[in-house]
Amino acid sequence: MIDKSIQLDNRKFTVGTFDDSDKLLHAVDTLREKGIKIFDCYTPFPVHHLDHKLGYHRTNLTIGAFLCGMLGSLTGFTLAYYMNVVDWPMIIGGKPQDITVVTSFIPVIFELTILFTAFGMVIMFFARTGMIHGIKEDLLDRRQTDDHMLLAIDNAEDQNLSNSEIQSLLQSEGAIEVRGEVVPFNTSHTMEDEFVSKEAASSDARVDKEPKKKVSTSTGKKSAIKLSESERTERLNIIKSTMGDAGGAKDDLKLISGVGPKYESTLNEIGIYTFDQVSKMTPEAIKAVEEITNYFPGRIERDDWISQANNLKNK
Amino acid sequence: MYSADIRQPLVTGGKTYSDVTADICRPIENKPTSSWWMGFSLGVLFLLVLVGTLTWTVWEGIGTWNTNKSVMWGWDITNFVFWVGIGHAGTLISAILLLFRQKWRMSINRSAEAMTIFAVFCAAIFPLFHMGRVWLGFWPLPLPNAFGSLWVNFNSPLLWDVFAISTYLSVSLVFWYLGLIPDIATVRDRATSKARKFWYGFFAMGWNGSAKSWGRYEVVALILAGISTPLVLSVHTIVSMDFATSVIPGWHTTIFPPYFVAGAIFSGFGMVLTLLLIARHVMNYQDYITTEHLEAMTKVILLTGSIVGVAYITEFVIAAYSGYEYEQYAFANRMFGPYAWAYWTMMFCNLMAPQVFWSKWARTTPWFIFVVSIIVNIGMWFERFVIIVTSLHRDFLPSSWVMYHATWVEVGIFLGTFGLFFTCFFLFAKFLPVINMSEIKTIIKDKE
Amino acid sequence: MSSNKYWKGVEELEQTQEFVTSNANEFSEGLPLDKVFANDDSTRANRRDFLKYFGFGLGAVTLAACNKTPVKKAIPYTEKPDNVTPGVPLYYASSSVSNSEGFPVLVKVREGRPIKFEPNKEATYFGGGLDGLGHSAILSLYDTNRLKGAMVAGKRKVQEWAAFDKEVVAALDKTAASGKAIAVVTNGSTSLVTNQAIADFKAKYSNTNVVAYEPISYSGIIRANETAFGSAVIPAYNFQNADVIVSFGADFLGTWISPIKFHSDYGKNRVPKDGKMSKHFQFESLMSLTGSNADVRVPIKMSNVGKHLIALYRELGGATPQDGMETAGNSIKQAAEELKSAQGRALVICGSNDEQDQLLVNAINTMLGSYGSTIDTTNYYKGQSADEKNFNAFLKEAANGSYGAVITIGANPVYSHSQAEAAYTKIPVRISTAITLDESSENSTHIATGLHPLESWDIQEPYKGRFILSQPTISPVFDGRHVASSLVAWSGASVKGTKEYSHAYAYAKSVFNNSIGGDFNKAIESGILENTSTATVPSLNVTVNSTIDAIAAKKSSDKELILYQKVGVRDGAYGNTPWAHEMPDPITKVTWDNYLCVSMPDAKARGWETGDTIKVTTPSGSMEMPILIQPGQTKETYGIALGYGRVLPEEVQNDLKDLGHNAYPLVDMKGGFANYTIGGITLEKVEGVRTYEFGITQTHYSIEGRDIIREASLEEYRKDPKAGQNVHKPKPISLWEDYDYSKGHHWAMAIDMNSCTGCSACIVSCSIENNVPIVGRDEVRRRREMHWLRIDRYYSFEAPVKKDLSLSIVHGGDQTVEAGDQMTKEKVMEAYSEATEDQSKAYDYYENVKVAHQPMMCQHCDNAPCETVCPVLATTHSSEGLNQMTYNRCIGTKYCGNNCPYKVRRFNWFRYNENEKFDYHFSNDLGKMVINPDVTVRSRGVMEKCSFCVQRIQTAKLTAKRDNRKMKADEFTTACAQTCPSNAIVFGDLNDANSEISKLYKDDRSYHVLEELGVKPSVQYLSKIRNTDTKTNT
Repeated sequence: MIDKSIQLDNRKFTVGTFDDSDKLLHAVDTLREKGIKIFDCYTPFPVHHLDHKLGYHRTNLTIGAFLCGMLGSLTGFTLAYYMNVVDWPMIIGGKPQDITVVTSFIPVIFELTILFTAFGMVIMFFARTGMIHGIKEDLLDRRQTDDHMLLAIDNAEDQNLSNSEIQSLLQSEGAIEVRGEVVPFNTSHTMEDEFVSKEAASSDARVDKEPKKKVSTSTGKKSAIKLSESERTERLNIIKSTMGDAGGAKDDLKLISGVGPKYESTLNEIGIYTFDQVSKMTPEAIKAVEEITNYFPGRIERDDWISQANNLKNK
Repeated sequence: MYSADIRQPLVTGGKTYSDVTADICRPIENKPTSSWWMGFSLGVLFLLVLVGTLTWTVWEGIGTWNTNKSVMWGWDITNFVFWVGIGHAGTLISAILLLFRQKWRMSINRSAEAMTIFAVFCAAIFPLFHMGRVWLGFWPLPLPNAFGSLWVNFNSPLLWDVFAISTYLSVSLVFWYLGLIPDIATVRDRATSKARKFWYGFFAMGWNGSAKSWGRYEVVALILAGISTPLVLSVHTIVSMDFATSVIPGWHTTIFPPYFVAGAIFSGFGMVLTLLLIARHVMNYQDYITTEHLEAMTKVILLTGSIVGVAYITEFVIAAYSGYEYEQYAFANRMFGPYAWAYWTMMFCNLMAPQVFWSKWARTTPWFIFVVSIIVNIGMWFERFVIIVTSLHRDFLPSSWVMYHATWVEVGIFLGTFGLFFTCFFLFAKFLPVINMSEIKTIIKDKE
Repeated sequence: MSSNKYWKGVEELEQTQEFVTSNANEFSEGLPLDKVFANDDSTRANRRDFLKYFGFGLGAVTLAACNKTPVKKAIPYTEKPDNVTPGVPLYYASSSVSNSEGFPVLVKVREGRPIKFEPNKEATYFGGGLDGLGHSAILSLYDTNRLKGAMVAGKRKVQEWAAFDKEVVAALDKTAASGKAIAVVTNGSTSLVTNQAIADFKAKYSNTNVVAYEPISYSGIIRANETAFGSAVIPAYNFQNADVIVSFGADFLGTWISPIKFHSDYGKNRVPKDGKMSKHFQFESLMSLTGSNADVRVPIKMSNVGKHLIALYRELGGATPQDGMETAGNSIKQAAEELKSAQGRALVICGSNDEQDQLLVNAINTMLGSYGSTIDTTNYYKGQSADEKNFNAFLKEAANGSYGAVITIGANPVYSHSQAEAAYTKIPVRISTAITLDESSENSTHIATGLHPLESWDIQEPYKGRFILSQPTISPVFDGRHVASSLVAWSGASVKGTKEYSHAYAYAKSVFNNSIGGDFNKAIESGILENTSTATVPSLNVTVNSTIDAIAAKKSSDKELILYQKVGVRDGAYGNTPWAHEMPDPITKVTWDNYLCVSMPDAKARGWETGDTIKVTTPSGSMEMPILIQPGQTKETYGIALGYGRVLPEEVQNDLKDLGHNAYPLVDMKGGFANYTIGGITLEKVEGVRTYEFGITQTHYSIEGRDIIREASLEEYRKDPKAGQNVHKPKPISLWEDYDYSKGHHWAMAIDMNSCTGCSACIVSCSIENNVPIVGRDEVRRRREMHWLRIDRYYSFEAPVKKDLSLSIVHGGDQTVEAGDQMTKEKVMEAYSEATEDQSKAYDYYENVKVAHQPMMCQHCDNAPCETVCPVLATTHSSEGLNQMTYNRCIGTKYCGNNCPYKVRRFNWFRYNENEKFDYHFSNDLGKMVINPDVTVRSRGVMEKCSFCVQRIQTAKLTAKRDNRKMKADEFTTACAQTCPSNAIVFGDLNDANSEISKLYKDDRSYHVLEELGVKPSVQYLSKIRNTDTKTNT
């Protein structure tokens, strides 16, 4: 699978979560009035006029579409003309063998026009949006495709308001939740949504406002199901012996692909804080980590955390 | 957004966004129900019939059918036109209704498009296997020849068909898939198992609903709709040209293109209704496919049905007035000849039956609509049968007049295509959201 | 037991280590299983292996399942025989045998295989045509059922001829010694060679009695001539001299005596030249091919023929004690006047086999002065000369056991004569010279397998003084021997041929020198030889009064059954040629079957439908068979075709079993002659039998008033040569100017519907030339016959009285039918019948029917609808105006077939060759020898149709090119045109000013079928002119 972020790689965001499109729109307005640069909004469905309010100019895909169409018609005509007039003229039911037979080509020309337009445009759309099969998505909230509408502000951007001010602004705009240091993640590989979605699925209709809290409860639940205390300590020993102690240092493990904020804290729980530790992982240590944190078996090798960690620590 | 209160809401039951997600993802995330299993296995059973009969045909030769020296097209092309016709509602609903901003389309277009695609699959079987040498089925494609120049005939309506049908199929697929992407993303983000994460993630193409993407997305959807509309019309126009450009009395008619298109929409909506009413019942989507939707569709049926009816009469009047004895006889023969029963079946199903939809009750009573939709399907099949067979079996020279009756092989193939169709449809219902969530979410608030 | 221990060696004694180990596993090293399983991933390895083997197995099976490609070998001539060039056909003058009647033909030979009969145009007297049966006779050469050599029944295996001859001679000598007689039963063949050999044979076995046997008897004529003129012969009829022809139930164009010759003679006067054409009255019961061409056709009962003859005789001024029976509408009177006016150029013939009737006919013809002009008793006809009187006598004696041996030559009495089998079994020694097993040869004690005519030398004399010489065109396919050689051998002489010549050749040559004389080789080359004497007029030496009294005394039966022959298989002697069976009957269009013809009024009256099974009971037996309703048939007459129901032996390979029913047992012999009109019959429907489905190629008989066949009466034609043509001729306009065909050739065809009689010879000729597959009855039932050329037959019915009809608006609304109008619309006729007060007479008008035949093949339209619609350009137009079919490009969408207005395209629904489901000649190696190498054998799933014999066009063009000259006008023609006995079909190059076709295209009668479609056909039809003054189609 291609492993490439769409647009958010290695950024941190201030994210306001809304549950109503009108509020979102209003928030966008106020923020932009205040001259705050909004990075982008994420909604589970097309919110009308949002792109205008965000000041996006209308896409010019249409021109591309038109060109593709032209190309299609041209292809259709050339194909038919070359085949039936130039290269392989035949007496067919007394029909002429010159350009006047073009009337017969019209259906084919038409169809090819449509075909080229459709495909040309969709391909351009994917290219423009950077969408491609198997790409890993970037999410700021795993429910932005369900019922949460997000307003994301890039922390890197220098704003004329302080971060906290922006946050409170969002609060006042009716954001049901405002988070400061949100790092994009993708659902496909992280632990937390493992449980969250399990529960989400188990209780469909439930609408919950606090993903965070739910998560913590879920982790608690996790250790309950998992290993007995003795086994746990045993594995912890293995880990300590092989990976050593962080010694108070702390790296942002989230940079390791496959580690989300939640899993980072889980690792911290069992005393893994630094890339250095991770780079020292031995097979049994890995096994231990997987068992103790109930992580996807074999995933750590597959994502090759060790070399990832090595690179990161050498940065 | 302004909303008139006199209208019924399009989605009832006061759903929230996450309700929508949850409801529509339920069939995907839960184990399939017993009724699903029943329908699916039935579909597979008929699919096997299709495989069997087609194998036999290819093995023995089309002689296993009863087509003969005069009626060289029988059930095969009848079924082809029938299925292509059915394949029209989907794209039409999503395209034209999108252009007209008809919001009621939103809860049905997804399944309608799916139906389109599967119907076109079924349709494609017939032109392929009615060939005497199906193993050379690729020759109508404009491919270069190893032995020098040898190209296809751009004067032939069959060639136009090849282009039209393939374009239609691929564009419909794209249109359908595009519409699916946001929903697939939703499913992806709720996925629990690795396989799901992987596959839905794979097809979601990294969609994350950013406003930028949505902006472009809507433009693309709009343009696709824009070009799909003429496409839909062109496809059945071209199919009708198979007949209209020939010399056979009863085929050689300029009225065919509009008349076929109307018929296609007619039959398409008939089939959509049939399927939706089933889906609605099986999956408890009453809140999403409301009687409002049904009523809207029945109105379309009433309209197109009447158009078709008018076409029938026009056709006859023109023939009578033409003073062209062969044409006149062709129609006299339809009405009173050996195949009169087929003609009157058609007349009843397509002209009379839909007229009941003048009554509100009929438009809003699901079981009744279901019955009528079935009648419409039957009627449209007979329309094609009448056009093809009764025109051929008695054309110019009385010496070649024949009768034609299908063999079990032909019947088997026809039933088999339903197997294919429903197998696909049940799989679709299991693995993909049958209702366009992202669109529905835009309208659960407002009425229309 | 001893306790002694024996050592196998010192090692055992010493029990060395190596010994112990090796001894432990002395016999096996054991399998290294432990090693295998020790290997930890062994299991996965095994799964892989399994998959590998499974995959391989699957692949292997798949490969094995594929057909192995046919082995193709081309063996070059190491030493090229003279004048045999591969790919170039040779033509030999020889004779075909159609219905045991010798007929001059050219045999087309490719690489040593005869592949087709073509008429010998030099044999003008015989008309230079050929009929369907004559064509299909070539297949009997490649018949898989042919006997492989001399064999003695019981253990039916091929023998050495020498040994065989010994046995036969022994048997014959024994018979001779026993004093019993020997019979030689011939088919009345006119072969000088055979007859000479029989004479030689008689020389040794003096007590030999030669009996001629023909399944169909013309003894009535023979006897009448004997009584009248003292010469027991069938005269030669010269229809070309007749301006007025009156036939009483004689189907002279279809089955009567020598139809091929009659065709061409008759045809000569049928095309109106300067406003004159012959007039033809036909009085008959069943609808015959001849009747369908008559100008005036009068339905009568065959049992009344005599009485009608009396009436005619009287009308002509003959003094008669009785006045006979006039027909409805005084047609006899009308005919008499016409005849009188054509004194000396008139001809009256009668199909009855009753001597009395024929005597009266002779009297009439004498009055008309026909003898010497239209009838020639001097150079009389020698075929069909058998008289059943002798044969019946022979059978009687044989039954009494007075015959010790019988030699059957060419005849098959056991099939076609009810008493023959019983008599034959009484004869101890039964020798047959048949070439295939048939009913007679099957139980014969000795089979001296003969030779096919194409393998043998022969000299025949079908007409007095007119000889046909045949030469072998292929060396015997099996180990047969010329009949003459066999007879000669049995008569003691040696039949050892020299190195160069077979005995048969020498013998034939000697016969030639003795009986004819002259240059044998020249004669052989041209194939025909004539030394006729001028016709003399015989004098009638009887008065007919007694005859007339006798005839008048006969009481006519209320219901009568008429046994007739079908044009396809005639008397059934050649019943095992699929072509003849697949050829649709010219009238009923039924293939592969015979049936009981019933008239429409009778069927309606008794509520019978076509396909019902009816039991016919006659004085001489009864039979059950399906019925077919036949318009034009006289009320209360019923017809059954002879020549079906052959009981071919089990060995018969191709699908020719259970074809119809054998009606010969019903022939009535009581009058001392074979009477084919049987009175005192009863019919009843057999209930509970499901409707029988005929393999019938045209089911709709009316033309629905369409402008497809244009016709006019001679009167109208005299006034306006364009009579019958569409008044307002459509002017089809084109969007673009058409392709210019004026350069090079522009092939076209013209068909004169006046001379076309619908005999269907062209269909068979076309099928053979173009390798058109035989599909069999079942496929014809599904309406899938493959004929490239068909003959459409349409009836129109004359309304007896004026009636006002009320029809639904879609069928033209109310209309009035005047008396005498020709009704052609199905619905109009239904309404007309319903409007009749007396329902018992409601369908009587079905008796008065006019018939039109129209050959229909690919019209090679310049604007062909079929070409436009083919997606892959498999059918395109040539610059010479041919609509050509590219078989190997065709993918079989069948769109072209649908879009053809003439419905002449044929589709290969199955693979018709090498397919046991279609077990005809295409599916066996011997039969395939007849395939024309110049024409592709079409594969399954492709469309095919008439190509205007493009292979012939190419050959002709190449020949011209090779000779470096321009192509001569009409230097070649298509198979159908070539074989047409009445030259109705003309093919040629329109761009060649002096070709016949370009002249015909200017003819006023010419028109295109469906010209209003603007497809510009290249086939032109010449409208039909009937020599009547009645109104034509309305």
